[in-house]
Amino acid sequence: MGALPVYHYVGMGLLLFLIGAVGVIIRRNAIVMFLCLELMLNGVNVIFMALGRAKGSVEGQVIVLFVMAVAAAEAAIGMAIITSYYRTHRSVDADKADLMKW
Amino acid sequence: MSHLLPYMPYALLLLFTLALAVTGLGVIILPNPVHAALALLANLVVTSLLYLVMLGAPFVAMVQLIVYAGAILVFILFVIMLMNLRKEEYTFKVWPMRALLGIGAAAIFFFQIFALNPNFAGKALLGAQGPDAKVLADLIFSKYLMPFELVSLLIFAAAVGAIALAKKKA
Amino acid sequence: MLTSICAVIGFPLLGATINGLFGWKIKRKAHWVAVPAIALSAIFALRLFSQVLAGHTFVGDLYPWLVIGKLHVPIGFQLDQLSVFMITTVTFVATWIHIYSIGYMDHEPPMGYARYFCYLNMFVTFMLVLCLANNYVLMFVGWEGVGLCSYLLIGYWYEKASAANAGMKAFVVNRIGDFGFMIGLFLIYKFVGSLQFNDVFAHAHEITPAMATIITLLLFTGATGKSAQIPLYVWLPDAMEGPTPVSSLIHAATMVTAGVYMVSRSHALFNLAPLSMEVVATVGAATAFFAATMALVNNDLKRVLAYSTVSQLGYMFIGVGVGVYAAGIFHLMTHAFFKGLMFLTAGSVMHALHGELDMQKMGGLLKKMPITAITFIVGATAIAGIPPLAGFWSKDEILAGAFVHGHKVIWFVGTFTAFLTAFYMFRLIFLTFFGEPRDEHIHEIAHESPPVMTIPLIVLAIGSALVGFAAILPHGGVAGFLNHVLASGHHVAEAAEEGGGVEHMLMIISVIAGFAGVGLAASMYLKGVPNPKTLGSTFKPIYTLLYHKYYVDELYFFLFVNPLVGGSRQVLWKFVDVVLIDGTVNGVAKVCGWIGSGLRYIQTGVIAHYAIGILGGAVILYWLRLLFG
Repeated sequence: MGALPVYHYVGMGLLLFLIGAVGVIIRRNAIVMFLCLELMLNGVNVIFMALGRAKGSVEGQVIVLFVMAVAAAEAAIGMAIITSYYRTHRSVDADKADLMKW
Repeated sequence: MSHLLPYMPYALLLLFTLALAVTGLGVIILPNPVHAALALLANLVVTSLLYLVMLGAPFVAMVQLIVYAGAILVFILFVIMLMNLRKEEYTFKVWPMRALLGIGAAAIFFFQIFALNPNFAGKALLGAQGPDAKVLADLIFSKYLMPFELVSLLIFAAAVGAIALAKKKA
Repeated sequence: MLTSICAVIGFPLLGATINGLFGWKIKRKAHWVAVPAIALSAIFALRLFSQVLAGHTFVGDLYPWLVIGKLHVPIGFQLDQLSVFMITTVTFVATWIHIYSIGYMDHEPPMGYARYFCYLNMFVTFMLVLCLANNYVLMFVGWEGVGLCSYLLIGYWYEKASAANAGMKAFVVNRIGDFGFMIGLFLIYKFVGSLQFNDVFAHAHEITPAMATIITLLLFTGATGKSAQIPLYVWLPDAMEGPTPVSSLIHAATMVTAGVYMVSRSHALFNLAPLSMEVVATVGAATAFFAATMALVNNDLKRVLAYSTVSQLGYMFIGVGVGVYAAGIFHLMTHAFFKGLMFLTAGSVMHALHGELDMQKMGGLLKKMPITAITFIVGATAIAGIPPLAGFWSKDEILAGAFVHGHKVIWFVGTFTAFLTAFYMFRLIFLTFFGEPRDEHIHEIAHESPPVMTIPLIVLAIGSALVGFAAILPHGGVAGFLNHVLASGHHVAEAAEEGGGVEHMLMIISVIAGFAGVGLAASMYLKGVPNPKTLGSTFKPIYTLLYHKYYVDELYFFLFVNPLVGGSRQVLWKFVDVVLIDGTVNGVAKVCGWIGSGLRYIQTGVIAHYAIGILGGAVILYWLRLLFG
């Protein structure tokens, strides 16, 4: 099939990462912000995979597996925080969670 | 047909990039969180396919599908359903200044990493079968044993923390 | 020998550590730690003494302590005739004073009891370090250590304001002397390049006479502080605020003699500076005389003894100042016995009278406390220079040395002071132990002290009576022994031998002076002829002057303390502290506050803003790397 220069993949991952970042910035719904975080992680994963592949190394894949495990832990905690926040505020609007400002 | 073969990789690349971009944008644009989550699901599935088809990593692709798309996302969807959000909660309201700044910063970031510093030498082989699960396992249980165990500890701590956080106060 | 030296120092150190760390647990049994510690130390000291007597001396390092460039300061010890003489005296007297303390301190609260013994052991440790050090820096460690213990013990009853103040006074006055001492050490290092005794004395002749004079005068400044000489003697009478055994051990027998020891140890330097020697002898003589006159009219039992101590220290400095170092050190030793003894007897009287110290209220205590009275009389006889007791021998050697070396004026002052000494000591005896009781109540409660207190008195009394004979032992007696180290004293002894006739005449004169003092005291305070009261009113100006101690404390207050306090209050407090320091500190805080109150608006609480910040930060970091990386 042939080979592709690895920077195409890097660009792809970066694109995913930045879409996620923009999502975190513009959205106010905490759950959607969380989804955007997952998107960013996914983008980073793509870059890891591609670079590992280009270097003929397995370690890119190992790191991706670790990232997934961490993402799972993060999901558990994140959802718990959002749930308990929702329970007290009846809302998941991240902009309203500003008791600690100033 | 055969003269089109050299363009196959680029066609695939374009296809995947488009699919990832569309589903990714779906996550951040769709007002309803459930829809956004479904878009993310699609995105993850596409990524999994990318691993399988283009990067020759069937094991990671499967894990991506099962753990990410299967477990984590279903879990998140479950939470979203549980919240039973009112309509105005997912009203899509964008602050223009914020969006401008965010997109601007992201664009600069992309530009500087990708366009100014194309130091990413090397080529990624397409499709061919990469290292299989055994190689991966050997590596994880030897060189990366310590991080592996630490991650298990992390997940355990996260589980305890999640219970402590989400539990109703007695 | 190094092992024995370590044992001598180590046992008191161990005792102090145990009582210091576990005193809260040991409480009343603290003396079971402290006394064996010091007794073992004394035994080892005696062993060392016998070894030195057999001709073995020792100089060596335990381990290097400070090695900075050329400066090399080890924890090292020097055991020779001089230092072994010191440590034997110190540990022996200290042992008996420790035992005495068991009885004297029995009314103390348990915690204070352990604290007291901890300090006492610590003091002995530092004193031994001072005596055994083989370099000036380690000596200074011991020097400061005994100062610290002195401060702690003077202020032992720290809840009493006068005791706390006396402790501070002792510390501050000593600091002035120590300042001079330290400058002296710096100069020695600068001009010799070493602080090891051996190196310094071997290269002493390389120092120019002028510089030697400066160095020795600075060292002597330190000695005046620690050994309570003019002008820094003012702390010693106030130091009597401490428990009496402390006055006995620290402020009479051992610590205050550190200056004499230091000067003797540095004799190689002092010999290069005749002017300094002159100053030492003159200051010693002046101190001896003035302190004795102050003791004449004081009615406080312990203060009379304190002035007497100052006066006797003056004698020691006369000795080292005129070059008869051995005589000075000998007097140091005999003084440790009889003055330690007298303080202990004073403590015994005080203990019996529940803290009463005014001699005018005592009288007739001989029958009530015979052992105390008799031992005191032995001590007083010794200090008065009545043969054949200890004081006679050592004082006579000093005065003879002064005379033979041509210091006729100093000899005269010393002899006259001997007369005064005999007078005020027997005045004290007659007022306290003889005559009619002047206060019935006090006479009623008086009782003899328990054996744990009287036995040390008896031992020290025997010592006071007998140690003087060390002067006429074979091989030149004490002088011959010490002159192994203080070699320059040799020709003194020879000179004295040559002028044997003069020597005997001087001896007779000083004995006459002593007896005259005793006789005058007896006539005045037993018979009332001449009546002390009428005498006091006849010479009222002099009496008042003496009674107020020449107004020296007032003078120091006027010259130093008040300007310092005033300056501190008006300049340092009101301006430097309030305006400058507080202003700076508060100003910094205020500026931080302003910056913070401006910056806090960054903390909007909106996650999106933080996310923009992170992304922007990543961008900036990238550019920084591109520009400077």
